[in-house]
Amino acid sequence: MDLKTNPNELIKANSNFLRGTLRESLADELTGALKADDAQISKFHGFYEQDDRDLRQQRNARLLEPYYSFMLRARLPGGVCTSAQWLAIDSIGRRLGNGSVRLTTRQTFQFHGILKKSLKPLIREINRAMIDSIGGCGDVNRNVLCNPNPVQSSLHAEVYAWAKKISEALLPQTRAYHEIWLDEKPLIQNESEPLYGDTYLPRKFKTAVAVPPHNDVDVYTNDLGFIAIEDRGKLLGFNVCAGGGMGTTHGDSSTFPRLADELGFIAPADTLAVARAVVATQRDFGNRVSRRHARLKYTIETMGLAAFRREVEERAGIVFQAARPVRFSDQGDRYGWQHGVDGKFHLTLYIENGRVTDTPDAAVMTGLRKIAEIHDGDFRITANQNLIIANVSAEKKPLINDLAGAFGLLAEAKSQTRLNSIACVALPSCPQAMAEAERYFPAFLDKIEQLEARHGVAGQGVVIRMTGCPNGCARPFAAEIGLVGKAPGRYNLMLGGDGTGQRLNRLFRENLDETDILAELDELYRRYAAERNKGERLGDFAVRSGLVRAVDNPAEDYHGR
Amino acid sequence: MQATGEQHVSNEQLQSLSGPELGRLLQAIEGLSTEQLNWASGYLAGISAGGHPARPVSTARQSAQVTILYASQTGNARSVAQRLADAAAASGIESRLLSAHEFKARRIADERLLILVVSTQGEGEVPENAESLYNYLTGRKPPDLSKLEFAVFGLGDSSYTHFCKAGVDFDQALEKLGGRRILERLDADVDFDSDFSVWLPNALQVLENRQPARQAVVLPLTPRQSVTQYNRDKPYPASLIENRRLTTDQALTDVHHLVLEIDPAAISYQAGDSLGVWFRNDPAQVDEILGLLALDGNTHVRLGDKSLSLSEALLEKRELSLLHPKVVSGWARHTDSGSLDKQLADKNELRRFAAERRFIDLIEAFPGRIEAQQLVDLLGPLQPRLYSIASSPAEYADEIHLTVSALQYEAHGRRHRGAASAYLSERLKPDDNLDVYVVDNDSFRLPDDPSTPVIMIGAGTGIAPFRSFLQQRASQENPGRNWLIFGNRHFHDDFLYQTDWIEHRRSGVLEKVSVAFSRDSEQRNYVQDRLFDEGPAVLEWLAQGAHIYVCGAIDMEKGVAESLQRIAIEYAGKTRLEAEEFYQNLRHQKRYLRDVY
Repeated sequence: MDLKTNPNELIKANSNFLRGTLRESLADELTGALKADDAQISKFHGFYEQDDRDLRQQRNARLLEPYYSFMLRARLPGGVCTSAQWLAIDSIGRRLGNGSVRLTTRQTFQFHGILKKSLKPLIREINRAMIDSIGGCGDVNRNVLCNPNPVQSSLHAEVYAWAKKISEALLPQTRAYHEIWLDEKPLIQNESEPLYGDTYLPRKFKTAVAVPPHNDVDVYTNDLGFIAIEDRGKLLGFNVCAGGGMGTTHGDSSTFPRLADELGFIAPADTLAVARAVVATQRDFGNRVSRRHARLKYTIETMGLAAFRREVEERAGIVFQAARPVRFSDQGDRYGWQHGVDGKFHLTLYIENGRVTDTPDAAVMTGLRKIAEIHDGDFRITANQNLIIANVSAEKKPLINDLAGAFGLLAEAKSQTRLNSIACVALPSCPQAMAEAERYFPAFLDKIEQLEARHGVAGQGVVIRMTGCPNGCARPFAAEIGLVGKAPGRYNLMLGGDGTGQRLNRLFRENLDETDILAELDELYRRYAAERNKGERLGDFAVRSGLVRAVDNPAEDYHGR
Repeated sequence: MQATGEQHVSNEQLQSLSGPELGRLLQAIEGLSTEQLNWASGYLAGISAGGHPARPVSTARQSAQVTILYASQTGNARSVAQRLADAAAASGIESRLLSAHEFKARRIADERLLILVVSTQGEGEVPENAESLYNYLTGRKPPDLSKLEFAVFGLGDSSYTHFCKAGVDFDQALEKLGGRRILERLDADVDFDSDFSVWLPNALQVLENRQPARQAVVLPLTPRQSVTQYNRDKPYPASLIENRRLTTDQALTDVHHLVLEIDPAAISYQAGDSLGVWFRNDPAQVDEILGLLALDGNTHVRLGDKSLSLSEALLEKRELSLLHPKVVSGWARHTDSGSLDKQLADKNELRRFAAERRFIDLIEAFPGRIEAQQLVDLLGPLQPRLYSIASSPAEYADEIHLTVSALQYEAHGRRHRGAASAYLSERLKPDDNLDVYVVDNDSFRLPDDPSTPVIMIGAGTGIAPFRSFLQQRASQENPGRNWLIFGNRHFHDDFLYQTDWIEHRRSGVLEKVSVAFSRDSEQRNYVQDRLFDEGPAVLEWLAQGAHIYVCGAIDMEKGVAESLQRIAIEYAGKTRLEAEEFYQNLRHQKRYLRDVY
């Protein structure tokens, strides 16, 4: 085997700490694209180059280059922002994006359809609103997830503060972002990246902080997870877990999704040291030859969990205590109004596909803007692409409820399955997509709802996740029913997640079109309705009934029935 | 292309001329036109291939007896000049046919008999390629033309205020410098064929009268016959091999790229040339006109000495979209008396009225009755349309590419389409023939020295010649730097030939690209604004001897000229007067060249 480092490593190394030739690329008026190397470097600055794949062929025939635009993802630890920030996000999306804002499965927002010339104004504007996009994408730690649980307000405040600190501690130190986008002066002394080094991580790195019993952040699907352990509302410390990740490659059985392993319990004060130690271990031991095998999950498989744990302990100067027992009950959101322990109210809205936009059917964007104009609490984006209007006073509650109702933002009248389910962006903008997801998902769910109604299991609420490719942005391998795109109109049907994000699903049928998917699910629902135990979830039933085997060790036995 | 294996000459055998031999050759070809040079090279090739040298014609070499000079941007003047030269040759009168661009202005005093055919641009301007001659005649040190006899054939459009002004100006200048007018100046209108046929016998008579004194010698070959097989009056049937839309469905304009197949042995062109296109009128519109006038399309009518059906005449021979004021005044006699009086009262008002309408708009708003023959007599002849060629023979010797914007607009309750552009982009089908002729554009040529830097400024379909230029430059060894400045409405919708430019830049031919898309920002940025922003770079390129080429609408070119002067003021610290001089110098040095419409 040829063990040459992959080209991305060279691009990073030659980028002068992520500067590349981004300035020249931006100044080039002939093309809406960046130079190829800069399109890799740009990810570290928070944005991806995309093109409208629906238009490629026709534009090529007309001697026009592809319709390039950019997707920019902000860094917003824990998904929390103020009303003022929301208004800024809304306004930027209208003027400098494609007129919409998308809430993501990583608790942040992203703008789509940004033209090259709008990148700099856009980045300057979000920074003016005290939000940046450093490490929104790229081979560094991405946006840190944190359970947005507004009900236990003081515990959330404490945990959220750690999520922010982790995010800050794992930021790249290069001044490239500030120089290129914010026109700040270059520093005179020699620059360095004490944590990352000049080639950063071998691959993306994801971190989440969960507060049981809710696993809405899908903590085990992250490279690094912190699970809050509390006692009567006070944070005792975290169970740390590592090595989760969704991405796989079709047809390459050496790739697999994986849930994180428990490393052990730590006191809050050791949080940042452990986070840095895990990142540094991955930096030094991660695979820089094959990007497909570069995530931490493969590093841990290669090193062995015990060796990995020892390495982290040594680097962090701590010893992990035995992990505390935790129980997770769900991986979805809790919709509607909730009353917090401090007397404030919180409203979770269902945002279909996380797409904040105005359509003839629903003026979601306008509705949220109207709410932000009067709301004096905050907004929290959930890891399920939804939005919480948090910290509403008793007197504002009716006003906000009326607005949410008037603009159709309330989750009422949506099936529990729909409320539990998510899809990724996919076509036409995502360069990875092999099949539709977001554009097709609502209509697909209509058909699922019909099936559920026919079999009398409508109230149950199944976690269904659809992605356009096997990279797993919508965490399809942790769903009860996963649909992973293979080709236009064709999906792998995965079954057997447990509905709480603690068990992976497994391939049930490969490369099905819609008719076959619905036929298989019709049969599954029929048997489920007839044979389920009391309170048994669909994913659990699929395993118990032997339709799929439970996944215990994906590195060994993920592929195969 | 013509060299076969047997005729191939290896480099070792090649020996160039030097010293006195080269001097003699240069002396011999001094003052020859491009066409004559073409002919001469073929003539010499014939001798070297074993043919016998033609009988020496010693007296003939002392400059031709009559010089026929043409100056126009449309090919009309050339057409007239060509026909005069042909007719003269047929009468045994030797002549030298030249474009004003090829003519050495400073040698005019050596001429004895000069016929000048000159058209007038827009608001009375002298054609671009005759500017240096005119400037010389009216400059500070004008020549003494007391030995010159001359005649001027002016071409123009009587609906303009300054009808045939360039002809008038030349006529007066030549007289003022001592020239003797041998024929009254003719101011020919859009329909110049009839004027020409009246003028020609007089002209030939005058020339003939002067022959004996000048030892008439008939040249064994006339270059025009051997080189220019096809022209306006004898167009070449090219066939359409490709028609692709260049703009997106959302674009405000519908621009097409057309590829015509030609036989390079029969028709040749140079980067910068235009193509004259004979199109057919829209059959639907012809039917409507026939309906409105209650005429039968099968009725036979006469056009000159030809008899054809009225439908055929309207489709192929008569102008229906450029409405001439003469047609309006003529039509008035066929309508209820007085209904067009208001429009006819004032010349400017009439011109505006006509410019905004087509014949069908006129007869619909002002109904009347007319006989078939009267109709074809009233309407002027179909005018061919000119398109800047968008390809270079260096890359496409057997193709000619055009960039056609299919015009569409609503007016007078009717959806109008560009007469020629709709024909080319919609009705002309692959493998259909299209009658075309190449129109030399000698005032819009790449620099002779390929290493000269070039700045190309084009808006909309004004980009066409620059596609040709860049193909040409790409074929040259070590071409100089190239800078393209392009403007249109929307970057994503109408960036014409974007992937071509990307390829030229990738290959290193195109160094710099600047763009202005006016509808992409609120401040409506145009190429002239973009040019001004690039002031320091413009000055740097000019300091390296760059030539500037501008192609597009007249107003755009004015803006570019203005921007250049502002650059001189803003970035080079010149006064307004110095800036004006700076610009004029560029023009005099032929480093600022225009192709505007």
